[in-house]
Amino acid sequence: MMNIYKIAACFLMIWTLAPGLARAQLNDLALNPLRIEIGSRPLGMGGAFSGLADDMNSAIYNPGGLAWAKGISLTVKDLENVTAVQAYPTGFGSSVGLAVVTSKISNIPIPAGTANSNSNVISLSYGTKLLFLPGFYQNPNINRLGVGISIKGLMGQTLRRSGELDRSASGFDVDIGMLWKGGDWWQAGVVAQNILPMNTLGGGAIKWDVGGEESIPATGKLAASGRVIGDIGSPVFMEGRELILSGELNIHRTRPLLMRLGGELGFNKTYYVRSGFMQQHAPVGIASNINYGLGYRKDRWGLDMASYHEPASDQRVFYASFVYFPKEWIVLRKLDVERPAVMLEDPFETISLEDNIITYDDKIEVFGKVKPGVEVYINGLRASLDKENSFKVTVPLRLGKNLIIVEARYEGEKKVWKYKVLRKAKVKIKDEEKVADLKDKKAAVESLVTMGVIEITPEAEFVMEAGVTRGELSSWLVKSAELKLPEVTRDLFTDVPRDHPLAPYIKVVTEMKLIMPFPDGTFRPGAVVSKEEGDAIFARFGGIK
Amino acid sequence: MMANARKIGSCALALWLMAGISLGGRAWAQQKAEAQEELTKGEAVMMISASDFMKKKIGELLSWTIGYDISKVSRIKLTPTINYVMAIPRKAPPDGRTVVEIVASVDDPGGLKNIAGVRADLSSIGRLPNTMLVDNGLYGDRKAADGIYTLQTSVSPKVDLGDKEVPVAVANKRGWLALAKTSLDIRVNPDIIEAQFDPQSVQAGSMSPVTLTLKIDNPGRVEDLEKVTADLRSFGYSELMLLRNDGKGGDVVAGDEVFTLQFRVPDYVPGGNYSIRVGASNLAGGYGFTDVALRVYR
Repeated sequence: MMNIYKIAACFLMIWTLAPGLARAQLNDLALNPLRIEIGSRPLGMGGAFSGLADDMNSAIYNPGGLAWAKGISLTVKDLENVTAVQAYPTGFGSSVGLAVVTSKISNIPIPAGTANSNSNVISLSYGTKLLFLPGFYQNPNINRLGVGISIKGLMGQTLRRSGELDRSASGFDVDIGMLWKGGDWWQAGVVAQNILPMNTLGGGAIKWDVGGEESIPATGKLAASGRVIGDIGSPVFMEGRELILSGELNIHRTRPLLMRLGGELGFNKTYYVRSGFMQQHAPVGIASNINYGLGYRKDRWGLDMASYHEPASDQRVFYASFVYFPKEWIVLRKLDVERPAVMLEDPFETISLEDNIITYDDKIEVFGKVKPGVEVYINGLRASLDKENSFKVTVPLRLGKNLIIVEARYEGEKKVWKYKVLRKAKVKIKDEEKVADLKDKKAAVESLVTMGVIEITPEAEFVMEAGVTRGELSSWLVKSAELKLPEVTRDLFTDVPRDHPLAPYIKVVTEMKLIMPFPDGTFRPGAVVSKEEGDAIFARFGGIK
Repeated sequence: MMANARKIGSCALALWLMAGISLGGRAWAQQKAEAQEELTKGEAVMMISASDFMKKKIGELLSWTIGYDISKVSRIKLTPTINYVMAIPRKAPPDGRTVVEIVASVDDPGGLKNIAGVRADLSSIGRLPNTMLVDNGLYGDRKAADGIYTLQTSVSPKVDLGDKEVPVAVANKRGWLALAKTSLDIRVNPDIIEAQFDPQSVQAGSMSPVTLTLKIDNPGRVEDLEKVTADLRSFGYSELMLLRNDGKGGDVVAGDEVFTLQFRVPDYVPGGNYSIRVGASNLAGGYGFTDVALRVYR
C-alpha cells in the first residue's frame, strides 16, 4: 500500500511542478485540444471516468486502466467530430491504446463575433500492470495496480475568429495515470494530464504559426468508482442489475477546482442508463451541467449515446459511440479457461437454462481443465489439479438454493463463473400407485420438505393417505407461515407439557386460534384431524397473512 | 310390601331407561365419529400449498432470479489441513548426499483416509517438482497412518546457496487442495555459534587444564563434520589440535553439537592475550572458523 501512496504522491508532485498557465488564445476560449474528453459512455457519466477506466476510453481518460482494457470505439457527433479509440491487449497484463480525435467547435461567442476551432489529435498510450518487475511479480497489491502513459500529439489546430486572421498550431504533451483496483467492486485513479513543462523535449506547448506559443494547462485528477449494486462481490447483491457510481476532482493550478459525479445503471448487462454532473471551465467561470446517456450491449457489440453540454459554444450536443469488444483480439492469451462442466451424478431434471440445475443429490461434481499455471478456486477453496491440469471436485449441496462460484486465477487476473443449483428434497411416497394426483402432491411435498416445513428423514416414506395429526399440522402451519416460536415456560395442556417437542407450535396455533383445544383441557396432539376440522383450520389459516 | 315392590320396579325401570339412553347415545356418537372423514397428510399438504403466501414462497423457491446471492455459497470446510511442514535439518549442504527430510502433518475434514496425496515441489533444491510424501512407516516415515507424511531427499550440488522454499500440497479424494511451505537454508560452511575457554585466564605452566568448548551448527548432520580443530601452535603445540565429541576427555555428551578440547599452557609461554583460531570442516567441503581469546599470565 505504501508504494501506491508513493506513486500517487509522485504524480501529484509532477503535476504541481508543471508550469503555470500562460494567458493564450485557446485558453481564453476555454479550449484545450489536448484535454480530450470524448466517448459517449464517459460523457453520459458526467466525464467522471478516470476512476472507472474499464473500457477502451481509458486510453483517453486514464491510461492506467489500459492494464485491463480492450475494445474499439467510434464516436460521432457529426462528420467533423469523429473519434476512434482502441485498446489492444498484449496478453501480458497491458494494452496499447490509440486514439484519433477530430474535433470542430463552432459558433464560440467572442466579443468581435464568433470563433471556430478545428483540431486533430493523435494519442498513443500504453498501460500495464507492474508484473514485469521481479519483486512485484506475485504481490497481490501490485497485481491490482495499473499504470499508464499517453503521448498526445496535436497534429493540427486551426482557430478562426471574426475580424482576425486564421491561425494554426501544433504541439504535444503527455498524460500519466494510475488505476488501483482496491477491491472486487471499487477502484481509484490518479491522473496527471499534460504534465510536460513548457518546451520540455519540444512539447508542453501549443506553437502557433504566427504569434508564438502558449503553454498547455496541466490537470490533476483524483478519482474513484464503485459498483455498489451488482453481482457477487458488490456491497448490494442484485441479480441482473448493476449500479456504478463514479466521481472525480479535477485540480488546476490557475483555475477553479472541478467536480464530476456519474452513475451507470445496467440491466441484464444489456441496457444502460447513465447520468452525471459535469463541471467544466467555461470562457467565464465554471459551467455546471447534467449529462445523460444510454447504452446497449449485444454480444460483443454496443451502442452508446450521450447528451453533453459543450462549454465553449454553450450548446448541448449529442454523441453516439459504436463499440466493439473483440473476443480473440489479443497478442497472447494466458488466462484461457473453458467454462468448467458440472456433472450430476443423478440428474433428475433438465431445464432450458444451462446454468440452472435442479437435483435431488446432496453433492455435485465440478470439473474442467485449465492451462498450466492457472489456479482454480471453487467457493473460495482451491481445487487440486492433476498432471493434465484437470480438476474434479465434489461440492456439497444444502437443501434449497445453492450458488457455486468457480474462479480461475492467473497472475492477478480472475475469471468467474456462477452456477445456480436447486437441491430439492427427495421424498419417498408410500404406495405411490394408490395416490391420486401423485405428481402434484409429490411436488408439493418435495417443496415443503425442501423449505423445511415438513421434516422427514431421507429413509422414511411419506404416507399420503395417513391422517394428519393435530400436532403435525400445528408444526406445518407454523413453519409454513414462518411464525415466530415462543418460549414455553409452563405446561400448555394436561397432555402437552412444556417440554413436549411440539409445545411451541401448539402454543402458537392455539393462541392464534388456528387449532382449538378441547373443553376438557386437552389438546390431543396425536389425534387425527377430521376433514371438517381441517376445513375450518385452513379457512382461518388463509386469513393470517 | 306392594309399595316397596313398586318403588323397586320404578327404580329398575328408571335405570333401564337411563342405561338404554346412555347406550343409544354412545352408539350414535360412535356412528357420527365414523362418519367424519380424516384429513390426510396429502390433503393437508395440498391445502397448505394452496395458500397465497405458500404459493409465493414456492414460486420463489423455484425461481432462478430470486435468492441466489452470496449467502447461498457453501462455506463448508472441504480442504485438507496442513498443521505444519518442516525440513529436517533446517540447514543442509548442496552435496547430493546429506539426507533432508520434509515432514508434513496433515488432516482432513473427512478423516485421514480421505487424504489422496501429499506432494512437495523440490525444484528449488534441484529435485523433482512433484515428489510424494508417504505415511506408510517406510522411507523415513516413523509411523504409518498417523497423518505425518515424510519425504527423504537431498540437495542437488547444482543448487545455489541461500534460503529455498519448498511448497507442500495436500489433496484430498474430493479434489480439494491445501498448500503450505517450509524453507531450507542451503549452505556449506559450518557455523561456530559458541566458543569459549574455561578458564578464560590461565597461568603459564599451570597443571590445571584449559577446556576449549565449541558449539557448532553444521548444515546437515553433526556426523558430517569432518574435523574440528584449534590452532595452539602459539603455545608450542606442533600441529592443529582436534576437538573431540566422544564424551571423553572433557566432552560431556558424545555425538552432540558441542566439541571439546583440554590442554595445558606450558610454563615457557610468555604472558599476554592470545587469539586462538578454531575451525570446523565438514564432508561437504565447508569450513568455518572464529578466533577465541585466552589470557596467559605468569
